[in-house]
Amino acid sequence: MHYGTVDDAYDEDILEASITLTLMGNNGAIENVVLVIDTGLTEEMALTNEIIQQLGLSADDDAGDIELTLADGTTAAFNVYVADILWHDRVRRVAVVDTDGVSLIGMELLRGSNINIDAVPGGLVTITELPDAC
Amino acid sequence: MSERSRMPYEEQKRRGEDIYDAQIRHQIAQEDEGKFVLVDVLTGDYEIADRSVEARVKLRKRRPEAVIHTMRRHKTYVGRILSPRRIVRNPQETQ
Repeated sequence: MHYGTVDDAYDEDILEASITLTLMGNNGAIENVVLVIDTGLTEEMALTNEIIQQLGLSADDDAGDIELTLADGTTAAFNVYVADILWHDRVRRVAVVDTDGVSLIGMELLRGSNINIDAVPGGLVTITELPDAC
Repeated sequence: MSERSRMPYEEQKRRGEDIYDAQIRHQIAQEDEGKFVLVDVLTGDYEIADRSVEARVKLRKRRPEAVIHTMRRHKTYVGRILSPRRIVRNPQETQ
């Protein structure tokens, strides 16, 4: 089970549900990263370019472009990287797209999990693996 | 500079879709509908998998220099990212 919190983002009364995950990059780099839960993201994970650099996920090592549809209906090409994460007590290899916003986990990572969010400032977030997850 | 970094996305997409139409489409089984199809647009080599990362890792291992184009069988789009933080992420910008 993963635990997270609901924060009052930027002190602007914008609620944001996030969890902290352990990410492993190339050359043994390990980072604990705060990721916002984003059900509008169909991919597994989006990371800021800063974190991608910290993890040593270089475009030359493992990159390709993927086209994603944005909120305004337009499309844009994103770089794709591969990282290992700790997910439900196991190491899982995930595809990561780069973003210039905040780091996100999306629905493809959440597939097979239950999400519970107390949507108030300081609220508890839990992500539990469902039995017989598909 | 690698081949990949020289290729604009539109060129990659055109090559990927051409290879898919000419060489891959007729080989894909009905049960593969909805799966990810990743093509190396330099060699035409490809992988099909439920999770894009599985196909990506296999293809990259075989073709270290691959320029990988990602598609989904019978899907109108590959993926979506709706986070408003791409538009409003800096508190200073919203004041």
